[in-house]
Amino acid sequence: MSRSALLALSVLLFTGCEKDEVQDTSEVEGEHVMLRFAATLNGAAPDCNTSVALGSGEDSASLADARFFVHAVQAKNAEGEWVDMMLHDDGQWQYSGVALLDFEDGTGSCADSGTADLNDQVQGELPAGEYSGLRFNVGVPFELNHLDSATADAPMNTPGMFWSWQGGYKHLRVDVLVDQEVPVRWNTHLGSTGCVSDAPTQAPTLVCDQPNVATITLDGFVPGTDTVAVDLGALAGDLDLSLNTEATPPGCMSGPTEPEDCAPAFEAMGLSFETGECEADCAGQSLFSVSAG
Amino acid sequence: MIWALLALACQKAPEEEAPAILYPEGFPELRVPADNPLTVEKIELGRYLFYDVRLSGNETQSCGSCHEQELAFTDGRTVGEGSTGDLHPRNANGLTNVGYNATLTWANPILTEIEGQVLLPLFGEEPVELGAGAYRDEILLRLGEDPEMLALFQAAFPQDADPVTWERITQALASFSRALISGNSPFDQFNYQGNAAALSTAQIRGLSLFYSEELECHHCHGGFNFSEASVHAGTVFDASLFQNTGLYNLDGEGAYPANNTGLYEITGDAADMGKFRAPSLRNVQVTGPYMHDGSMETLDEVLRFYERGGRLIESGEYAGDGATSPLKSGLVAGFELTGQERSDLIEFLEALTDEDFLTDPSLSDPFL
Repeated sequence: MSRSALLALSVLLFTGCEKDEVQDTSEVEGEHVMLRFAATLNGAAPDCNTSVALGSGEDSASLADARFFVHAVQAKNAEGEWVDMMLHDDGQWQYSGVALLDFEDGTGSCADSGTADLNDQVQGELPAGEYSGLRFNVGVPFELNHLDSATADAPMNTPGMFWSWQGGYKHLRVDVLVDQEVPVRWNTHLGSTGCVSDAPTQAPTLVCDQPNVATITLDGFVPGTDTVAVDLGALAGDLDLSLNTEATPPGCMSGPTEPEDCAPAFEAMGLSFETGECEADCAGQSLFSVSAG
Repeated sequence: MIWALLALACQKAPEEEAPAILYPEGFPELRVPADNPLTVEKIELGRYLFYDVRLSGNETQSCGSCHEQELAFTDGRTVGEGSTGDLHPRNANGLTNVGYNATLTWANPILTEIEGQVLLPLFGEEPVELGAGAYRDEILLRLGEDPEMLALFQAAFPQDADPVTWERITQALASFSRALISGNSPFDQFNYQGNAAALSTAQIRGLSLFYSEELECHHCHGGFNFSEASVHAGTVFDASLFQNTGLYNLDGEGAYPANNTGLYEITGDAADMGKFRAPSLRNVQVTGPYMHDGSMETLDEVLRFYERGGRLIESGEYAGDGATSPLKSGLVAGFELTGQERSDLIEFLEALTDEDFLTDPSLSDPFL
């Protein structure tokens, strides 16, 4: 037996024993596609060390966190059908069809909650062909939303994105530190609400009342060529960020007690604050747009 | 030949056969340095060393002197007192689940392995703790001449011709420290072991407050270890782990007492003044006094401090209002509690006390 044949045989035997660890491969003959996201805050690249005018414009603020999950990524083929993009598990940013995008580097005003790592892309496969149009959900699907973050695989164990009190993740987290004598945070934490379980540390068995997962559709988007532009400032709308609703947490925690604080963020996502679902297919969203080629 | 290959390919690594640590339900695997895998024998040697006063220069103190099991491995003092009487500027850390700490000590971003941390109490001179520095060689002789200790060293490091070295001592101490795992509190029984009766209704109310966005406790004290500054074998993201909670504000610009400036002492970055690691809240009922300098006696005092969103010190050398510190974390924004809510929250914190851990004979002083 030649040496290479022996090697091949032992590899075969080895994989035979380790069946559990073999990655699930797609049946589709796919082509690798990289989706790039480019975030801006008031027109400039997100920066944890620089203040910019935000909201009503009376306040300046610096970025304190900027991360969100996406899942159910699809592209529209030449026949006008939506086709699933298969995301690769990479042990860091992507797991089981969910990807985490991260535009904060844990420095400056991001030091309180952030991480050093950054990610502006989603990697996956689409069947060979021409595409025009991109669709994805912002957040974590219910089936994965109530994992135990301590033992979950990355990115589902990333710190600061787990919303223990309702047993789920923050679908999106964009925080700023508003410049004042004592700087105050304005947090935008979008997550599912109305999740029922016996205690905040236990997972619900029924889908939450307000999923707060937006489905974003970008017409004409060409995967692999165009970039998804993310206008983080849209989440603040024209709010005065120094005026938080009294006796509520700073900013918007998606909770029922803070409709005013949450209005711009929900509008920017195209979500109804009451139902937590898309209003008119989330077509009115202003957070994401196509940046051509 | 093929069968031999098959057998070889399917053989499990020998160290997987006897786990040195049994993890509580819900706990992830520890991150352990590749050159110091956990073994039962190393943990046992580490236990003897941990409680052995021969490790201090003057043979009066062991690690266990400032890290007592019934107090979740802290000492009940405001600040630590070394073997020669030096006072440490800081409160002795409890060692509950210390193997999951992202960083060691109260505020040192580069100290990430226990093997490196144990050198501080052993050899540190400012202040002197165990004071082993001038006795480096003598201490090895003390241990090597004791047949019982020598046998433990040989069992832990069978490949070594002479295992009684400082490298092996630090590895064994680190291994024992990693075995200090607490995960059987009433909260764990309730949350991970399916015992709905393990918490009282008051404790469940307190748990809900703890995880509320109004109080924000879990942002820093979240996760299975009640500290976000935790890592484990599956951790891939490097989190920012130090916060200024507004304990002091000496000059209106957020200054802390000069002997306790926190992360700033290591980084020299003005923005890091007063930043400390959020400790695990497991067993917090028995780990007072609280804070890096032991400056709060009770959990009630701690809660009122967070309610106020910073501490007001009206007079004296540390006078100042921490609530108005420009360096304070935005997460310490303050909140209001009723007396009932405060007592519910304290009862919940008491449900993090793991009596098994505080009395486990395998973690106790073998010389008693």
